Amino acid sequence: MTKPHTRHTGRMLLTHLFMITFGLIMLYPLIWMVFSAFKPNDELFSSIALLPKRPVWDSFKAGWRGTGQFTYTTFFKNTFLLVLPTVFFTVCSSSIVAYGFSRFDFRFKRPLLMLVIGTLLLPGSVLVIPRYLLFNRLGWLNTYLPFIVPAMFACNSFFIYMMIQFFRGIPKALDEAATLDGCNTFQVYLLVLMPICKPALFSAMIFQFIWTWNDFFGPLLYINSVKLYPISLALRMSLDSTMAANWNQVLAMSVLSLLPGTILFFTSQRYFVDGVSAGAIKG
Amino acid sequence: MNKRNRISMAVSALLITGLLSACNAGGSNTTAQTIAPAQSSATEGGSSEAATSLDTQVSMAETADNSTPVTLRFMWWGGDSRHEATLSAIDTYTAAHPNVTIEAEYQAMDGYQQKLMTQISGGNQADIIQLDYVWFPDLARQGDLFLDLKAQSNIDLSGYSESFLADYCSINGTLISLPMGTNGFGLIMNKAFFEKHSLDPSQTFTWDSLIETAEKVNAEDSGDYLMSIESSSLTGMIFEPYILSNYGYYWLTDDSSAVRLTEEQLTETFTYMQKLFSTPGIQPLGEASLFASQMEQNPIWANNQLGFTIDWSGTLGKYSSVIGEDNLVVGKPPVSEGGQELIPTKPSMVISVSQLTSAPEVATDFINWMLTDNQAVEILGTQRSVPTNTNALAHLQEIGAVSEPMSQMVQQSMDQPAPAPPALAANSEVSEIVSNLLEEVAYKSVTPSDAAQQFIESVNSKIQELQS
Repeated sequence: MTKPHTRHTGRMLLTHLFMITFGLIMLYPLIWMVFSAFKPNDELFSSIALLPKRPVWDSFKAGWRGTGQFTYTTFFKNTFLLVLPTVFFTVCSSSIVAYGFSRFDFRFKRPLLMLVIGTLLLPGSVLVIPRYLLFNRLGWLNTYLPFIVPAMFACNSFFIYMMIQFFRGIPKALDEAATLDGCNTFQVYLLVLMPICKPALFSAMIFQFIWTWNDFFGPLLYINSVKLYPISLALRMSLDSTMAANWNQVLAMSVLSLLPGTILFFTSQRYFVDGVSAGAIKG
Repeated sequence: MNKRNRISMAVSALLITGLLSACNAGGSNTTAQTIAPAQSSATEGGSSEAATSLDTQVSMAETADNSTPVTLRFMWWGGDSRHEATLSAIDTYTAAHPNVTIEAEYQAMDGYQQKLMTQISGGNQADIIQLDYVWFPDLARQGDLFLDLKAQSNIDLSGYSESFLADYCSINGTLISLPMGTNGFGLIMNKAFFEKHSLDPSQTFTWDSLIETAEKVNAEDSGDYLMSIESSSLTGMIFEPYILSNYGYYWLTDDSSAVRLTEEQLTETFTYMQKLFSTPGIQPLGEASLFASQMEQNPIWANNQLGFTIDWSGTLGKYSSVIGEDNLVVGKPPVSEGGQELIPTKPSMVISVSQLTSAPEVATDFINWMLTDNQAVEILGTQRSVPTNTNALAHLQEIGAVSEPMSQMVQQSMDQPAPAPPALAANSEVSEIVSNLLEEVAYKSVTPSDAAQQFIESVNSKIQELQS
């Protein structure tokens, strides 16, 4: 009776051991980054040991101060001003557009849907110059509008596609029941479908949050003034290939910049995992 | 089925028209750009009309000097210490000129050129722009982008050498920029390493003694390397210095019309490079290349296991920040036996004023102040290597603000300066070809004689393509 039991725990133990070691290997760079925030430059490059021999304690404080003209308070504020509206509008607009595509029949629906999918396949780098010229004509450079306005008009076709797949999995009978109960089409969307869609909305939210938060090239092109820099630019500001950098300060600020995304992910992880798989099954 | 086909055809037609219109937009824009500089050059041309318009500009600026508010954008790249110094210089200038606001747009080198090129294509560039002179050939093709600084009355050119301005700061004879600093070139050495192997850091290596010493060093301790060079700097750090010291000229003809070296010369050079990189005691290229343009992060440098690397004086700060200032010495680049020693030099960076600026008078006054005024020179120090302006340099040396290695490195370059490289040597497409071929040579995936043949063929045909 005991024999199969121990064999079972033995295997479990092995599996866990394997997963823990593998997890640690994967996480090592991140852990290294946290510890390196306390190392001076010469130690940083001379060994891969975790614990600093001569710890530096003020890297968070000095790093936050930055070059002195603007502190990371400004950069964090900027990043939220850039990311939150972008995420909010992306979720609203792509869900409405997806609702239209999945629930209504209208002229040119197929070609339009194919266009949406077509833009999904278009490599982003092709768009750099035309978009820059467009935003320049509109006078939107050096503002966050090049990020926020496209989000309002559901310019990220990936999310539309994902939502359409999700909506298709929801029985139309629900809409019909709601209509019978007196809902108009917008109420069906807002009161019936949105609550069911929560997993998809959350995954769109998390994806867009992390993408926008980490985006370097977009802000690099559209933002000129340092006072409007988001964190991704601020972090690179002091890493010049010809000059010395205080790596511990940069790493300290990198650790801080990881926090919002990590917190968001773990607090809404439940929905996120649902959303990714739910969209995937109904391919 | 038929209906579906028709629809998908309609969609592809739509997509194609979309693409075409995008192309059109791009096309019309480039024509707009080429027209705009043409117009501006027409008004700026050497006619009397241009002179009078300049005069009125000057008098207007003089009368309106301290009352009209002026806002200028100033863009540069650098690290934290350069940012801080430049910001402080801006504050000093604007405190003395309360009507002037200078918006600082600073970042690191990564992405700077791409950003600048995008801004230029949108006509959205800053008023005052820090540049690397190697971008000039690419910039020149975009039209007439920068003010002719010789035509500006408030720029004092007396502190610069005429030939330096002509070689490194001009496009087609027009002075479009001023040098912010002079970069010297040479070995950046780890003193502890040289003491450990009882080598004299003040010796000048010959290309042959370099290999011998490397072998000796590695025999004494197999973990030690005399030299480390990563593959992306092969052109500037090994190939060009080797050719310069052996032949006294560059691999291109001075007018950039063709490859100057013969196939035999190239074969000889490539044979040496293959020998060099298979020497024990020279860090294998594959390992060194993990540290492309960040050699200071190489663990063997931090651990005193690396003798030297070759680099420009402007980068001294990052090397000493890892091993300590007392542990760093500099020296001359390797020479050939009995050859002539010519050491490359270049401006660390140059500064230009955009044609599109609304206040050329103020912008030129500001750059002139930055490069010549004692107070500004003190604030900026050697953040952009030592100042090129001789008066500024003399002032800095007087107050002892130039570190010993930096001044030595610049001095050795200025004493035996190599001629300026031919214009097309810095062209991004040409240097790409050279760099790829040199990597193949160093990794031994091609024989020296084949590489020499390929070098001459592909560089010459690229040059013909560029000049047609």
